[in-house]
Amino acid sequence: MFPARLVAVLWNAHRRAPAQALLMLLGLALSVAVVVAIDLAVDSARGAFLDSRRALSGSATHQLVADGGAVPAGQLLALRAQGLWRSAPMIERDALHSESGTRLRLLGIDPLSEAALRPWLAGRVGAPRATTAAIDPAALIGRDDVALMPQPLATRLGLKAGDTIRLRIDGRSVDFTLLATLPADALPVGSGNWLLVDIAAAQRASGISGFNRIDFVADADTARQIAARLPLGLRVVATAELDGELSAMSGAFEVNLKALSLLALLVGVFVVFQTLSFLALQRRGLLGLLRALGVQRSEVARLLLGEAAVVGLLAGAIGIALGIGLGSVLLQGLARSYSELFYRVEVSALALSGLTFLKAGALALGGALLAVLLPLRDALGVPVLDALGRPSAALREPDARVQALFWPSLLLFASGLALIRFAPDGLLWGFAGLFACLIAGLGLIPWATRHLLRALEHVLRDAPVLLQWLVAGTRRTLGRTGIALAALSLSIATVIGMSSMIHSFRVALNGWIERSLQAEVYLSAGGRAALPEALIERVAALDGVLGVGLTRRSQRLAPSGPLEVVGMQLPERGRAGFEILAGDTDTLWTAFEAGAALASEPLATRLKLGVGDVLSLPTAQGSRDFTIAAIYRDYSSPQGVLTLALPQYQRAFGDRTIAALGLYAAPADAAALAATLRDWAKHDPSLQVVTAAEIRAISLEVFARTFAITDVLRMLAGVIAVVAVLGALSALAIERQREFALLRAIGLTPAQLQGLQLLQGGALGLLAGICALPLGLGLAVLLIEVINRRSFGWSMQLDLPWVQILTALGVSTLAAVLAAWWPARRASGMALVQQLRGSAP
Amino acid sequence: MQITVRGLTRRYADTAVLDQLDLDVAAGECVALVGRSGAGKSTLLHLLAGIDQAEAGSIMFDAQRIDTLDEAARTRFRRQHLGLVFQNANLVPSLTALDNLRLPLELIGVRGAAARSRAQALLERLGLGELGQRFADQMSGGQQQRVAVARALVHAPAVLLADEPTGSLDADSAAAVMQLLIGACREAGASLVLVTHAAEVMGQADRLLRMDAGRLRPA
Repeated sequence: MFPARLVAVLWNAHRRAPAQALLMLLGLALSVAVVVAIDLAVDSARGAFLDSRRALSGSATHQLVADGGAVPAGQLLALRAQGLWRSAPMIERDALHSESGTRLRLLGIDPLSEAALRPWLAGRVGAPRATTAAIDPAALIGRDDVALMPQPLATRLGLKAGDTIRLRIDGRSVDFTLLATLPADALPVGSGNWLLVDIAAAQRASGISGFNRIDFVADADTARQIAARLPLGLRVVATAELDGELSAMSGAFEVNLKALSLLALLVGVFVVFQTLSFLALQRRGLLGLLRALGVQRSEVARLLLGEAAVVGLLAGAIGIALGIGLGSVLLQGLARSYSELFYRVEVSALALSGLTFLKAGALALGGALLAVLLPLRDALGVPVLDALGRPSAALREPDARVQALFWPSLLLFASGLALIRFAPDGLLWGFAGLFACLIAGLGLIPWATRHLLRALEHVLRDAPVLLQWLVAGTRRTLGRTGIALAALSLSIATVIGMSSMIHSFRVALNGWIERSLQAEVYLSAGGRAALPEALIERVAALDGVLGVGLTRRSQRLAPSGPLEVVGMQLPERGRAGFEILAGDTDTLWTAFEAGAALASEPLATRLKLGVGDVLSLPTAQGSRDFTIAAIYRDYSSPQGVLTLALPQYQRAFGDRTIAALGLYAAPADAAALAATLRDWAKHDPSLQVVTAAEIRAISLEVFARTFAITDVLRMLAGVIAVVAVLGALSALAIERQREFALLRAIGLTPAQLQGLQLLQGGALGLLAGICALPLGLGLAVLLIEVINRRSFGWSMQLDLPWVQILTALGVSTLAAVLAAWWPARRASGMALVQQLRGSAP
Repeated sequence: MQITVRGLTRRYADTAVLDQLDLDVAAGECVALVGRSGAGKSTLLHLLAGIDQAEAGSIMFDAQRIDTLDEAARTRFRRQHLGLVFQNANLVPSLTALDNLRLPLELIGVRGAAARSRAQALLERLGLGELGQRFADQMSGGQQQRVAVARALVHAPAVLLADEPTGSLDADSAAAVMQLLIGACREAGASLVLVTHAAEVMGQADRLLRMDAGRLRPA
């Protein structure tokens, strides 16, 4: 411990000039908030998904599923014949509540089987609010027009027992009557927008004969024996494994988000480092005096470490509180992105996690302690006499630090590049290399800026002295402002890098959509339902139809996990929709018709497939090898798609249904064709008609929503960087107050001085932008060539969004001018006499 | 330029540092102010320079009353007519000695080559030519003060105000600075108001005034 008076020394200093400490707290707290918000939102979304899966799986250890179709009803009897009474069929279907537009999940259950697996469905079901009568789920049996619904959902939709629930399922209208509501306390964790109906009612509503799956409880050996006896096309999967495989789908997306949040934390730690460095310099005299009075080095060290720890803990606490608020704001957007990209997520509230709070606290505390190490070394390394000596002696030291940081930073940069180039091909290695390059950038930027300013000084050697003073002063104080400048640069570089990546992606996606949508109008049966053959023939015979493409898409369980397989029959024109990235374009279509497969780029990346490689899939005839004839560009699924010629698909999987048609026509005929089909759809609501233009618009909307969260994160990183610049400039204004006073004494008016400081702020912002440009472009290349490829398997050309880049430069300059405004106003408003005496606060 | 001060009062809290002070300095006259620490010598100098404001009284430079001007107008008056030298840290640290001299010239509109040659000429004339490209932290305290004197003179002010310009120097350096300051003032015909503790300086001044109880009286 150290004397309380020593603590009072620092406390009083902060109380008299609180701005620095407050900015330091704000910077770190905001960055911690970003980490907490992303962690909580991501974990809540993933947790809600897993809870929901667990709730629906109940105590089932295994599932019997069909490879791309329905499980025949006879399988339930077969399982029970083997003594597996703890088994229950399930149908799951997406549905839309017509009146509110709320997305629901229709769950078809067999109430008599549920007690063995999902006791919450076997317990007492709450009666309508007005009554106390209990309702048994058995009440659903034999009634294909009634449903049960969780009470909170019913309240939200304004429904009560006896009301009609109007749904759209695969484009068809289906009505149910709300039989009763399920009280919230009777529902398991993870329950969502569920509508429970009898399994027969679900079959009627969704057009499925059989079940989506049968859940059952069995030990591993029994499960293996059952699996061995199953007919082709059916398989047994362990529930836990399937949950793991599904949640792994979003892993790369989550790593990307968390990495972006750590970038914000990095900027925050540098805000603390910069402030503590400045305070160490400002306190040279004070610490020298304390040591002259007999305070030990170790006591000074403990004092400064204690101060940093308090900053870290306070910032951690504030950051956690802010992060909870921010996480709640981000949650719904994130859940929607999950639903659109990976798996359905329903989540209403942020799940608070002690582990996240602990991690945030540790990051804040660790970051602050790390940030104080160098300033602490500075403070302790100065001999007492020097510390008490002329302040100008300290002026050159930070400049030396700029130089000293150069070689280690360059080495770190090279190591980062080497890590990206030579380390194993994992996403985490990619991010490790990226972070190494960015941290190195923080050390290189002040050095580059110093040289830029030196060159500028040379150019301006005959310019007015005040301009020279501005440039020279900026260069000579880089030791103080350099880190803030680098933090701002890093933030702008992130904006430039992310914007370039997103813009490139958008351009690539646009090009891909344009190319893929060769047909003018698309007709589908919705979900897995089939289009009747007669309808297909009738459509093909319509006036203006030049060709018809047929598609069947299904989910298959490959040894590597769930896999989307598409069967396609395309007219000649439709083949132009494939941008072939690898493969012989002269022979591939012949091979395709003969049974070879086309792998989408993400699939090829994920499974490390090349042209000529073989992928085994379970088919109706047993496991079959498909040779990869080509790899094509595809942005529709991060998991990847395997495309087969339709006859090959039908032969392999015994699935002869056609789910969608692409109608090729002259562009001028497209509108009339769509109108005709929509007319037909009025009589058959299951038909979905959509034009190429509508698909394009929907795809771009989904794209925009997916990247909305990164916009928020980039903005926050920018705010933290502006806090850094504000801190640096106000520190500088305090340090240079004697110099400013001198200029005013010589004859500079307060307005002139203020103008010069704003100009200096703007120049720093512009310099930060100029330094950020190469760093941002490098970041864009790394994001596109390394992170995106490793995360999603997507490749794309770099396409620079110059308007956004120039806007980022303008905004950084403006932000730095705004950050300079307060210290400038403060400096020019101070009493000149006090400033000259160096006693201004 | 003649300086006329009447009834000047400046208080800090309840203490009147200057109390109804009167002062007359003739054009070209060199006046030394002495007195104990805290007597108000520097305060008077700050008021004369227009960098502080009095509660009462008037300050006239010839016919121009400056205490009623706003801060920007006082600053314009100062840059045009006054030269200031402080006890230490006089030079702008991020400028060379030559650029320190160019600065006041540019503030009164003398720019480019004209400012450069005028500043360089003055440095040469004062024997400081070799210091032109040095920064403050590359000069000794005495050299810094001599460059500060040159800067105070470079725009040919009518009045020089010097606040203990040799207070932090050794005896030899102090003598050199003082000789330069008084000699240059006399040569330029500028008035000089000098706050000092140095006894040897006192003999070189035309008049010696002692600050006592907020007023001036002959020493």
